[in-house]
Amino acid sequence: MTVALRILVIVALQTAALAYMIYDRISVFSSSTVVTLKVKPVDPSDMFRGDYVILTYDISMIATNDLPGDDKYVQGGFAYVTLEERDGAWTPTAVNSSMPAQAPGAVVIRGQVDGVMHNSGNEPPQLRLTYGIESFFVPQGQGKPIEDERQKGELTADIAVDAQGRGALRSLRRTDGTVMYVESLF
Amino acid sequence: MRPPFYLRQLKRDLEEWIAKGLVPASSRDAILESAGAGSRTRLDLIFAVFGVILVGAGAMSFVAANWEMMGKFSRLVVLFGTMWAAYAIAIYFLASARDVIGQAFILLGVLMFGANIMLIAQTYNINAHFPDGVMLWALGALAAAVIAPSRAALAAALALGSLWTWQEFSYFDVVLHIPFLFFWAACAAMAFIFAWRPGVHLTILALIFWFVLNTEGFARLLGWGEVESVTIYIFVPLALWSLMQLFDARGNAFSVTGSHYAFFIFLVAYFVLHFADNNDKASPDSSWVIFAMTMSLIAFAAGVVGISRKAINIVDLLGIAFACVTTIAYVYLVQRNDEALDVPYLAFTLLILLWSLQRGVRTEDRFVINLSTVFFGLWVIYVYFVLFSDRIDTTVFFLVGGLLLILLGLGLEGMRRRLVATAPAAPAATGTAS
Repeated sequence: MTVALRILVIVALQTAALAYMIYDRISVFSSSTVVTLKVKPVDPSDMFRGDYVILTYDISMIATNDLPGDDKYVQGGFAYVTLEERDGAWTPTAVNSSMPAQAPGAVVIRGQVDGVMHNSGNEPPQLRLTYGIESFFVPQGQGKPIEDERQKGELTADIAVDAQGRGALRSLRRTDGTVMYVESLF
Repeated sequence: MRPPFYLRQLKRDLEEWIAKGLVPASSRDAILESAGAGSRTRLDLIFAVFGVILVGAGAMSFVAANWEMMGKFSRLVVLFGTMWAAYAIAIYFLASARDVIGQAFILLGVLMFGANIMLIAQTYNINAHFPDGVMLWALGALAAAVIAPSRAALAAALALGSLWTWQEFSYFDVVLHIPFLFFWAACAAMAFIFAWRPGVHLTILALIFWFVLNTEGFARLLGWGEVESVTIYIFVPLALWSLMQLFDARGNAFSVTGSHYAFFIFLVAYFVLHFADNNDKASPDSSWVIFAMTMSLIAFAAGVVGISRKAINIVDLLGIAFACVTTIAYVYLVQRNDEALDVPYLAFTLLILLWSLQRGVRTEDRFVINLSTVFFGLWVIYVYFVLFSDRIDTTVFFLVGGLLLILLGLGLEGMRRRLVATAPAAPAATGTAS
């Protein structure tokens, strides 16, 4: 194999790896299933770094004793949260350690278990979950207005969810529906 | 691959042999070439590598400065374009037989690959398990090292692999990061195939780094106390050192370097063992007993084979046995809270140091002589602190301690010079270098 061919193989491998990162993101982002989650205010000392916004959601902390599910969670593993739209808000209705069968109108989003907090006795634990939609780079100057809305508790996030339950943030809106930021692919 | 000290000595000897007419002058270059003297690190390579790093940093600064003005598609064009350009330039230089600058541009391509991973993740808000990004970068570097082939890419792969395992350990509390070992084994194989000395050093340092990070993980997984955990760094290096003596007999610089590292870690661990806490355990864990016995047997068996191959002698075999027995005995006794162990253990440490010094002189190995001398100095200072710090007046303690340090420095340096003078070079092919 010539030098040129060998290096072209390296280029092809590395380009394929980078292209897969983009393709994988696009496939989640392009999902036709979208849920709208309310964004919670966070500690101001840790919420915004430059153009990097931290977002937390109501489903970031799940009390499993309130919800049906198999309760077989391990730290670092996955938890599948079933969401259903009730009175205009997507709320968790079940949580499982494996992908459950989806009822019509329900959407399952996959989170990673960052913490399992056990209550007293044999009660099911509380789960601290991350969904890969918690940090967000925004263009210069757009971070502060988003931060202000979030702290007022008037920010929602539209999340595209694919068939495996992976989420991608598609847009940020005020609770009155005004769009604050829309993510584009290119 | 021959050790540098062997090559330096060979050059000196060759000049002497040529002057005496024993070797024709026309054979000088061929002899040096056959010993690998031409493969030393070159200044132009160092300059080229620093140059491409600066070029890469400049390119990334330009991208960062104009990042906000670019759309996502433009960003992707710039990111992929710079990486492809680096590799295209590498092809140009390698094809025109300018290997040094060509290799430097392969390294630039690897650096751009990593920058692209990070910037694509930022552009698309990919909030994944972030050490995976570094792992992907390290794998890309290893692929470049294997396919090109490229030593610079191998060095980058080892550094990135170490960063990856550190992130897993520091940010995600991974108990034992086993995947790193597979990556490391692939890198070690490449360093061996390249017969590249800095690569050997980096490979060994990366493994030591992994062991240090994972010590607590071993202890937690096995239920061992601090004392038992420290013995990992006595038994494993000692067993490896004993095994490497068998390969030393063939003058393999790979094993010479490896055995130097192993012996250094063994000495450090033996020295610090009695600082470790016994965690109030009543007796050693059964898994530790199996581990200690197995490692001792491997070290001793390798020692016995080493004697038959004349790679080591009976003093070394006794040294191996002594180190294993005293370590096991210490762990058993300290578990019973026997506080009278300090002085005997210091005496054991002295005997190990004397063995080390004796071996260094016998095998004419400067590294071992220097190492033993430094450790002996530290041992004397430590003993002084342990025995006298609470028994004599503070003023006298520091006055005597200062005088001791001065005399020790002068005395040990004189001793070291005399010993090293008898060891002009470690014998790379005599089978006794450690």
